[in-house]
Amino acid sequence: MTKSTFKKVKISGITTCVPENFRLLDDEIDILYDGDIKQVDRIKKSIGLNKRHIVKDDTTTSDLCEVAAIKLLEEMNVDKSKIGAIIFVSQTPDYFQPATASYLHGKLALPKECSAFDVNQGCSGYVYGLWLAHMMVETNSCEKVLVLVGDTLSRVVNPLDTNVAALFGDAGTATLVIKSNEEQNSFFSLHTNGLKFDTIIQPQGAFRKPTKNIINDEKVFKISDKRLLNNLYMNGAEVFNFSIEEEPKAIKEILKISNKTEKEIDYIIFHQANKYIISNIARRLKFPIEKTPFKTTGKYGNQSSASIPCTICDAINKEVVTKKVKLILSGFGVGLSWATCQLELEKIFCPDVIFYKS
Amino acid sequence: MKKITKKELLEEIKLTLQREEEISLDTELEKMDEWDSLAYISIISLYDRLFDFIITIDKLKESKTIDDLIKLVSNKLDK
Repeated sequence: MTKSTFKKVKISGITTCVPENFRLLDDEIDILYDGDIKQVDRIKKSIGLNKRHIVKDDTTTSDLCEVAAIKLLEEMNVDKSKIGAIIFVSQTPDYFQPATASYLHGKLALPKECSAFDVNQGCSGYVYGLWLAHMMVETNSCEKVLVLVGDTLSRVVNPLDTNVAALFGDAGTATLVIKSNEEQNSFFSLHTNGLKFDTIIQPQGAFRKPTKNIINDEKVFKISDKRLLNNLYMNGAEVFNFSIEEEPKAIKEILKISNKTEKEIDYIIFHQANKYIISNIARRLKFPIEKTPFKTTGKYGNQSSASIPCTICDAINKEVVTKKVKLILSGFGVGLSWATCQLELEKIFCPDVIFYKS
Repeated sequence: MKKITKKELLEEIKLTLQREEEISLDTELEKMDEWDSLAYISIISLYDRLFDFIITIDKLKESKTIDDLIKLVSNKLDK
């Protein structure tokens, strides 16, 4: 297990950009569910899906992150010369090479005295990005780190795949991590189960040929016009089991590491996989559902790595801009990877979600 | 945790699957339209809520009938 404690780092701003374009579950009763209204009602009621904001045409994750970053840098009036690193966390980069962080470094006119790299993580990716940025600032390697996190999974799923097409939404976010002059404690723990690497997978498209002696889950190879090997595959039931098994343990663990009680925490912001998973985790933890925002998926779709910052901007930004809020953030999914942190946001820059016009 | 009877569990399963038609112990899972991955996670959630444990997907897949599903938790039911 990886455990980290930081003492002089804080988040000073978070912005989120989602595409203006959206689709409703009701629009797809015929395409995805053969006109089965009862099935659509089951999905709405049980899983809490309804609307999802997805990109049009060729818009990429970096386009959304760029808009989020410009809003943050301009409105916070950030001195770009103090930004020592730009980290891009995503499963949907612009290129295999170069790093999308390099492209964004140029677009945002950041200084040459700045490192830039990509991190391949999805649902746990926001916490990963924060963890790396905290290390870089805590060690005085950088004064400010710009963390750009997002995904456009709508471009990876097959639009006819009943299992996943209606689930995912797209978003790009920007977070500024800076040195804190006062003591500011934050705590991280990160986990991996690589034996389950094929639970969520895009089997084809990179350099490894998908074969049955490497990918164990046979369903990955059951392809049709509804899912090809270069589309995203997800074993939803396995993900559900993994989430309700590991997440309550991860929350209890971070409370122990940070030496806090549940009562001291204002909100747990889980990765917004869907309402059903969050309510099941909250019930297992016996944690009041009011303290675990869960509406993001129904409003925007499952935004993978961007769902935690989007939920901060969408559900609790009125609080984090005016006062101190004690949070646990926890992402879980593709990898399988799960990462959790306990930190405080106090009077940060956190405007409402902004919309990308294509 | 209050123990429930086999009959009550059957009713809970019917509600969980959001099924309008009657089900019995002999109902074959594969023959129900509702038996899909959404049903899997609904049963996992139901058993977690009622019995505080997480059943594996393999156990669910091995189940052929409603009775098999109930047998997975028979030792936790009110006799």
